[in-house]
Amino acid sequence: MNKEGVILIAEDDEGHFELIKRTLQRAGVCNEILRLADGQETLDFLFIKGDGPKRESNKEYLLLLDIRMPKIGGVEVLEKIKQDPELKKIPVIMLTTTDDPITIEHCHGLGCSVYIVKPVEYEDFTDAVRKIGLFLSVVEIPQISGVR
Amino acid sequence: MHPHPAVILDIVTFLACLSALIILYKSSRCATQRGAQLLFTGLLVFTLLCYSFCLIIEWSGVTLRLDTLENLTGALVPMCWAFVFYAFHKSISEQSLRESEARFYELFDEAPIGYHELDTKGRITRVNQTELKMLGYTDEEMLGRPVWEFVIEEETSRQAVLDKLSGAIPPGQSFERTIRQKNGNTLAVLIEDRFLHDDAGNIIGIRSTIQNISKRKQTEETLAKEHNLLRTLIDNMPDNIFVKDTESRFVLCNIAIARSMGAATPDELLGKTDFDFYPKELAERYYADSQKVMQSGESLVGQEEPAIDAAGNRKWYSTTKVPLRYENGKIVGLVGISRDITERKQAEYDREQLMETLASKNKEFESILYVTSHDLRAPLVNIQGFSHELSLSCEQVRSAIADKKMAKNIDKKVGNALNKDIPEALGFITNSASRMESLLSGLLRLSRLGTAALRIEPLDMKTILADVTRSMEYQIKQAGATVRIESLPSCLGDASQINQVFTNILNNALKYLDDTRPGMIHIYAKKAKIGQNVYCVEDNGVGIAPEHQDKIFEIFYRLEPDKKSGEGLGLTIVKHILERHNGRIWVESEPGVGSKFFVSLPSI
Amino acid sequence: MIHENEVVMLLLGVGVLIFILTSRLRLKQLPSSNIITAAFYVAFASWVLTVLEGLFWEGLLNYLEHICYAVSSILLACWCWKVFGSKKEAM
Repeated sequence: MNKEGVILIAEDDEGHFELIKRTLQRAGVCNEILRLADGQETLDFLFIKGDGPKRESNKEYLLLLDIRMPKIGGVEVLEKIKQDPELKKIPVIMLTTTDDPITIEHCHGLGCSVYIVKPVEYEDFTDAVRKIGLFLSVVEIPQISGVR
Repeated sequence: MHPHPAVILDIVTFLACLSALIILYKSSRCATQRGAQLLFTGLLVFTLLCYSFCLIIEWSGVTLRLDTLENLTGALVPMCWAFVFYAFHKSISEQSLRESEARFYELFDEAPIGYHELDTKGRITRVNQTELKMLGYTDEEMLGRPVWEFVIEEETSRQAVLDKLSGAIPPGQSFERTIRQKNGNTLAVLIEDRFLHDDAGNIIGIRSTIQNISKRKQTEETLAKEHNLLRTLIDNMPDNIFVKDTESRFVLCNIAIARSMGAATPDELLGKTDFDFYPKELAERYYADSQKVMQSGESLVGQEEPAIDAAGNRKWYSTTKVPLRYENGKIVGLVGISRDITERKQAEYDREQLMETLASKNKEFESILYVTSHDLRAPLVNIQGFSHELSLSCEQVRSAIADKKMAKNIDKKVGNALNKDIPEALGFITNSASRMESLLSGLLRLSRLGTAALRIEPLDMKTILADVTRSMEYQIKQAGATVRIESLPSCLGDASQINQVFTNILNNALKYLDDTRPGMIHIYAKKAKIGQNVYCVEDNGVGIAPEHQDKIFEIFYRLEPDKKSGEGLGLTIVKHILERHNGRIWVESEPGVGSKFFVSLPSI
Repeated sequence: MIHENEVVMLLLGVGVLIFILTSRLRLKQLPSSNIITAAFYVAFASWVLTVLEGLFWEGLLNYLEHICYAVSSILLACWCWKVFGSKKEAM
């Protein structure tokens, strides 16, 4: 992933977001990190709707998606993204406390790239995020074309 | 004169007559009845004899002239023929008359019913054998006596007879009387009268037929009793009982069905059909069922159907319809019994409702459990995460202080906080968060147990336990214990869950071994009642005190929280799994000796 | 030549014949009634022949007349034997 790529983190819990952001940065990720507070904001951003921030064309995006969010949940967001022919190119990493196997399978079925369970043990958590960071440094992400 | 050849014929005639005469003579010696016939025939034959004798004389050429005799006998012959035929004719007539009279008497006397004739004063003028036998009298005892002397209802009979004879009342239908036999017993009879008229049309007597109807009366009585019994029986039954004909019209009903259809008496329903009482769709349904039963000849048993009673309430009945057959096998209708099962249906419905409510409450509870345990984890992430951040910050401060040469006293104050208090506090926070996490994790697992689908199949317990021991090989070695497994019967259950059960039990056994002796774990089967297998895991560990033995199955309960690890969920999970399998777990234990954990599972 | 007595015989015979013919049904009840009625018919025939022989064919009819007598008598004898013969009580 090149340095201009944007990492989107859809996470309603501020604390979680901070932790993830700090860990990523400590892991050496220097891309722009953008927070999307809930599902609605995420969809508005990606589908260029509403009042909030919107995505720009010809940029690389990666989405870290939490499932438990108010208004619109993570699974629904995932579904909507993967239904759009352009947006489905965005790699989606599910990062959530839910470890229910049924949900995991469902998300994979919808087309998420990776599903990670947030470990509560801090060591494990930071470890996992660090690994995500390393992963991000090597992964190639397509550019998403123009705003419609 | 020469003899005429015809003389031979005359001789023949003569001889024939002679032989006839001889026959007749012989017959007269033995026979008794034929006086006249014999006489006239004899006369004829004798006359013919003489005549033929004369002819012989005439034609033989003898000069003797017997003309007069010849003429006389010749004339007599046809007369004799006439007499003979007349005599026979008469006797035949007499015979016929006698025969017909005899037949008449036979008819009269031997008739299958009693006959008697009365004169104008009601006295018996003639009575047949049958009637005499019926009453036990001789004809002398009955002839001449007024007929009512033999009847129990003497006065009624006398009046009726005299009225009939006087022409006041015509002979009408047959009527019943009780007559007195000679031996004193009474007999029920049916009498029918006819008038006897003379040529002028006046009534000169009565001829009556008497029929013994005592048997019939007895049969009638028995029949009435049986009918009464049957009627009482069906009227006392609480179920609706009915009989219908091939057109589905009611032929027989009991009180119960009359009441349920709003009729005052069962008779009101007779001849009517369901269409007269029920709304069209219901009536059509009943009609279709009835027709099917009668046409196919197959019974309809225990069919549950809706109905509406007289008050308009909705009811449920369990109906059985059976085809009604005559002796020749032909189906002439059907018999039906209907039981009111409204209450049962209501109970069933209520139960269903209850089950549904229960199921939904259960689901609700489980989802609460899930959501709660899940939602509580999120803050935990923060607690732990930022605890770590804090400690990192502390580190930073510490290293910053170490770099800069700060004043000794500040270092001491800050040092205490930095090196002792803050890490200590953070330690507690982190530990508590971990503890919460494991508790919640356990709760989540427990709630998921209730929802996970069970795959019940026959399980080879040997294989299951082999798997369990293999996966715990390391712990077993670490604890220095030996595990002995006997042959175990197969059971029905979900493989992974049963695996979990024995893993948990074995885990506990290893955890609570006695340090003073090498651990011995023995797994075997015990005899149990039909349908259940009991497996036992016996150890020689520290044992469990009686007051703890029930509690160990409670959620989060730990026997030695300080010394041993674990969340206290193992046995709770085991209990839950077994309950879902219709099994049980219980323990027998003695502190210092060891424990026995019994698991019961359904057998194959 | 017709003799009056022969005519008288015939006339009487006719009377009996009429009687027989009218009560034929009743007479059928007689035992072996065929034989005795046959005997009579033959006798009647002989009376007829006696009268006729006075008119024509004297010789032949005379023969026949005597034959008839004989036959009639034989039949009568047979009938007597049948009806009144040994051990026959009732008619």
